[in-house]
Amino acid sequence: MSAACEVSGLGRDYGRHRALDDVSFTVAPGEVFGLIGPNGSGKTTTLRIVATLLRPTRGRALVFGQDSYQEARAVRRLISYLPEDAGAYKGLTGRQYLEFMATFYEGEGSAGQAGRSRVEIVARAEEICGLGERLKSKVKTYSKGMTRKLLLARALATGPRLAILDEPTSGLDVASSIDVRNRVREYARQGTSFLISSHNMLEVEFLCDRVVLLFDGRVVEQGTPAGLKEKYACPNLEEVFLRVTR
Amino acid sequence: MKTLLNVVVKEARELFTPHALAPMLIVLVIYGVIGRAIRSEREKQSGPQAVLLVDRDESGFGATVSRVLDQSGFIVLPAGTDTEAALALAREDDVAWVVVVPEGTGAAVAARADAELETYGVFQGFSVAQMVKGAQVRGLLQALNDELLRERVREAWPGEDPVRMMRALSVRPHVVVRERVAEGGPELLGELVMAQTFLIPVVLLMVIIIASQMIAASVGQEKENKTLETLLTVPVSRLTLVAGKMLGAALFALVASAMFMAAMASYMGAFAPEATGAGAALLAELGLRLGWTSWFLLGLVLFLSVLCALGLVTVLAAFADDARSAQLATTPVMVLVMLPFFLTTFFDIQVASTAVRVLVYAQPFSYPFLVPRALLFGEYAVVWGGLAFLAVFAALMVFIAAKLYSGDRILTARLSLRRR
Repeated sequence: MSAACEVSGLGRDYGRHRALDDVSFTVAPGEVFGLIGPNGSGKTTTLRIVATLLRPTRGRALVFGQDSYQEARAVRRLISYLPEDAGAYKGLTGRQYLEFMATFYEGEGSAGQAGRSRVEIVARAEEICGLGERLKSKVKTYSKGMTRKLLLARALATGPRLAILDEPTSGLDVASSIDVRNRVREYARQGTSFLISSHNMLEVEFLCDRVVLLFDGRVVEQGTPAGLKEKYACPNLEEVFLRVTR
Repeated sequence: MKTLLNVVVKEARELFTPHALAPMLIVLVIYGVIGRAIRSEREKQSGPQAVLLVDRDESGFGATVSRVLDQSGFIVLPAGTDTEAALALAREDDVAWVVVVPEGTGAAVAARADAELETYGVFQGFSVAQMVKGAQVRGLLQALNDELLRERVREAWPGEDPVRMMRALSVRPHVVVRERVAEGGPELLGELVMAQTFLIPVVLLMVIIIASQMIAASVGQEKENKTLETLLTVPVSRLTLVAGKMLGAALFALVASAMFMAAMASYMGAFAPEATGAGAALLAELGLRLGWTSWFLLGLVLFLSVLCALGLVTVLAAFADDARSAQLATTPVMVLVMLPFFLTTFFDIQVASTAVRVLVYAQPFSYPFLVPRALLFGEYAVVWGGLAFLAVFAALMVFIAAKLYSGDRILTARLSLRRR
């Protein structure tokens, strides 16, 4: 069975600026894989390339064996992407937003399942986000946390084989963050693969099966959180990161 | 088709908000009220006007003046012999004119010496209505002068028709359009044709401006809110996304333009010469009425022009990174639309210099202004050429927009430009 995501020698330049250079890693099916690193380390650029939004300057990213640039349309059927700080359409209600997005995925089979109907996708999203009656309100009346829950629900309810989440708990309170982590673990157990970026290394440590540490556009270390802590004799990933990048 | 409809419905839901519709409703109501008020004022003016007559001449000439004014449809109100008191009364009762017959006028007229009447225009404001009232009175004093001349002619040549004696030559004006000839004045024809074709460019301007702003705002907000990033990863063709956005904006523009058209029609109708009776006969005789085929072709030209504007703005807005900078993307379109609007309003493009003609014919937004006239005058080369040009330009813009959305330039254009 092909890897959920296979990134090899990935590079991306913006003009003369090299944002990403020779990044390689593999995400196994059903695995929760984390990208960690400071701002500007190349996390979002990597996710955008895998999510078919950016063309790599060098190397390639495969999603279940399909090239994210050459076979973008096929890849889009397999993924869902949650950008960092993304919003939803302010003029729509939460429910209208979910219905709008669900229409694109109606009948698309994923994770070995038959395609879901729009009604099923929306019902699943309603259950995930837990916004209840507030789904009847316009998105512009939502708090940042509520919007994030709505978007996350959209990303998971469409039944992607690979969910690409950029800072999934950004803007959420502690209880909501824990709920999101539990949801991710639950979906991973059901077979969904996750590629996640986060600043929160403690969250990554709890959530991810394996991680890659990015710094200045390059991979500086990768492995399981436990393995990395043991290798560098550090109590947590934050200290591992500081040791590796020092 | 289902996904296209999904995008169109989403765009419509975002665009058709009370916020967006309220200003248009207000314009509709305001223009409607203004149009109605102007019509009512015109009706009032077309009725008999009052004139205060101060008669300080004791020869009975004042009675002649009164009779001529009365025959000409004025309500003559005798106001004694005191000019100051008459002026005060005019101000009080809102009468626009006071006519004074000075002492000795009748004698001077009888002696064929210089005779003068005094008129006082009482201005309570400087409205168009006030000016119109003034023009009416001046015309009537001319009629009085003519009446006195006729009396002199009767005295000099008894038995002759004084009207004929005073008119050595009369003119029967004709206008020629293409092969058709009709009796009528060129001024009336000009007014009628302008009234028929002026509304189209004004409405088109509105539609293009509104549609361009809507699509620019939509693209800008999508980029600013990062909803575009999400949308570009869904399994749907980029052409569908671009077309859905454009159709949503076009739908809004259609509704907005219908509202503006109704408002403008009400407003302009208050000024337009009546295309009934002689006017309607003149237009019909010259074949200057647009038939259903012409209206269809005109509609097609307007639709393709809006599509060209939407495509161009979509391409330009792709280089913006937020809603505000996306609004700037509409500027080139505004300039391109305003240029032919003014050129075709103030110049006859047929006889303009080569430079002006190239400037007009080489850009798509000229054709909505050129085609109504071309249809009226049967210049079908301009109509078909314009349609072909617009179709090619619109297709090219939609293709470029879809290409932009297909690649990563939609997300990186600004960045790569800045770093270059």
